[in-house]
Amino acid sequence: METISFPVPEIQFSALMPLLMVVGAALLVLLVELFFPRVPHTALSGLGVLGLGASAYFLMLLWRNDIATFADMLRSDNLSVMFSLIIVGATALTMLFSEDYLQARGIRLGEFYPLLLFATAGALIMVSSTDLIVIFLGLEVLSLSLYVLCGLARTELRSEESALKYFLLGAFASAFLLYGIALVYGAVGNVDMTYIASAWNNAQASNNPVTPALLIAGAALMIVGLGFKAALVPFHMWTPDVYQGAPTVVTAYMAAVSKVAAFAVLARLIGSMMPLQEVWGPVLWWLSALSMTIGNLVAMVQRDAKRMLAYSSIAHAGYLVIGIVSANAAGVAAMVFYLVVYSLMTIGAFGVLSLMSRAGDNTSISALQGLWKRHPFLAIVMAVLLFSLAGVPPTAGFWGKWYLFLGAVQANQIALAVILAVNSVIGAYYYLRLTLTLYADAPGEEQLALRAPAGMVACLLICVVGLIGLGLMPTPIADWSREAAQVMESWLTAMKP
Amino acid sequence: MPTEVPLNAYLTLGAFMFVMGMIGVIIKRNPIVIFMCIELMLNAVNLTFLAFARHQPTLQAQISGHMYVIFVIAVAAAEVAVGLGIIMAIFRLRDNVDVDQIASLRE
Repeated sequence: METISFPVPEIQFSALMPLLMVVGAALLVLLVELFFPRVPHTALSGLGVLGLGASAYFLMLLWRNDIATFADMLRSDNLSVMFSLIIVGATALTMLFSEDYLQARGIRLGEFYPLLLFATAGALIMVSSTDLIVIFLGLEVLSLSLYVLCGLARTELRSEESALKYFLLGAFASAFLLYGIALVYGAVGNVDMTYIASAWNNAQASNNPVTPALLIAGAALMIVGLGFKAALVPFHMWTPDVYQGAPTVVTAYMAAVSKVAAFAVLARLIGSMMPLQEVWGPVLWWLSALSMTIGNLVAMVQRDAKRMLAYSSIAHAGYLVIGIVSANAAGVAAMVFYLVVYSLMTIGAFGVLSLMSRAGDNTSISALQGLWKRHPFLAIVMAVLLFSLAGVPPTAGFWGKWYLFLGAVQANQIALAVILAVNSVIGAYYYLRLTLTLYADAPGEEQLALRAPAGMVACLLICVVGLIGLGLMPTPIADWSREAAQVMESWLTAMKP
Repeated sequence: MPTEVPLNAYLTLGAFMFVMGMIGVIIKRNPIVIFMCIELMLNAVNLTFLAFARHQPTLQAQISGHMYVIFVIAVAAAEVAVGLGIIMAIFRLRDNVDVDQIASLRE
């Protein structure tokens, strides 16, 4: 009987601190809620934001420190730090305005905050590992929390329905991802994605037909699984229903954070499979082109603003894939930059809609008519957000699209760059049409005055100032994105066949 | 002397179970049955992991295959807890869980 020795891996807790802070805050909020049920929920969200702040602090300490710990299962490099900061920031922005929304909707559940923080922890795990099983576990922590969050309004059928749809399709997608991981394990003998390229090259050198076949099938299945999570056409069917039915704060969070996490994994995974470029290149090309075009075309005919933003988020996912298809450092940097901008735009836009979708109100586009009369501040904020979503120059949305365009041109993906440009025009049409609706006169009947609570105003100000600031001065964040993408550059060039 | 079942047999069975589960998810209308089909897909993955683990050259690689299966089982259990909770919540609201009739989120 052979004995097995398991050396205890060396652990560097500095790489784990951001995660521990978020999980710690989640457990603390859970305990406070349990033992002091009368504590106002704003205090709970305050605790959560503190935890996120601490996490962000430790993340900044990790910047420019490459650490691989827990037997290489947890990696903290510039790319993961950048993605983690986006996730932590997006969570904090969501937390700022969620309490008021939950109160108004009558969802007085303190569990919201721990669940949101657990979901964030899952997303942080996903972006800071190259081990596929660890990524899968992070994905499940994120997804399971999101399923519950979607169904948080227990007395509303719409909310439960969105939870069920998200759950069934999410679990279905996880099965695909897992089967892909199993095939990679069979081919490589390991589930760390950094071994994929050398296994492929060795198999090519020794004329072994089995390993490449397994890797190609595995890559296809994993792209399907992640395509569901990132809401790419043709795996997008759940998105509009889930985004519309879920409580709007959850939609804002889900649209930003789960997309960042899915794209972080997709970028690393594709980077690790550089030698297979002929295989995944055309697949991702089509996913990108279809997502952009179908997302934008269907968004045009929506009558519900939440659904329209859901389809527009599908189109934005298509834009983001361009950064991956380009398969160069410029493309990945553009994707990181776009994710920063996209998070600000999405959370802001859904934030404004969360004020409209209070009890008795609805989010149909006609309900937004005359917002200018009801609340000028909100109308101005929404206009800036929509301009940025459309990519109009003084806002950051323009630079996001511009960098993606440049990355695609550098990679000689001219057709994709042209599709991006055409789609920006289609997108601009319905975003600007919605903007005009905000300033049109409301149809006759009396409309309620809107009240924007302090947290909401703070969140929207951060989004708007961030978007205009980045629009006027994109260099700092663009430089950081480039620095983060350098992690990928060594992968992308070293592993080319 | 009994001969060992070849790797291909396990992989084929795994792929068959996976495809059956996939078809079930697409054609079945009851969420609980759909969920059972998803479980079937996850078990197909487990079988594939174990079959591959048996044919790994090093002990370390073999054991990691077994470890992944335990992770998958744990995650599947967590999914059951959440999923059945959601289905219960819907059942309380409307006494019927057919997915074709749960369609208030359409235009």
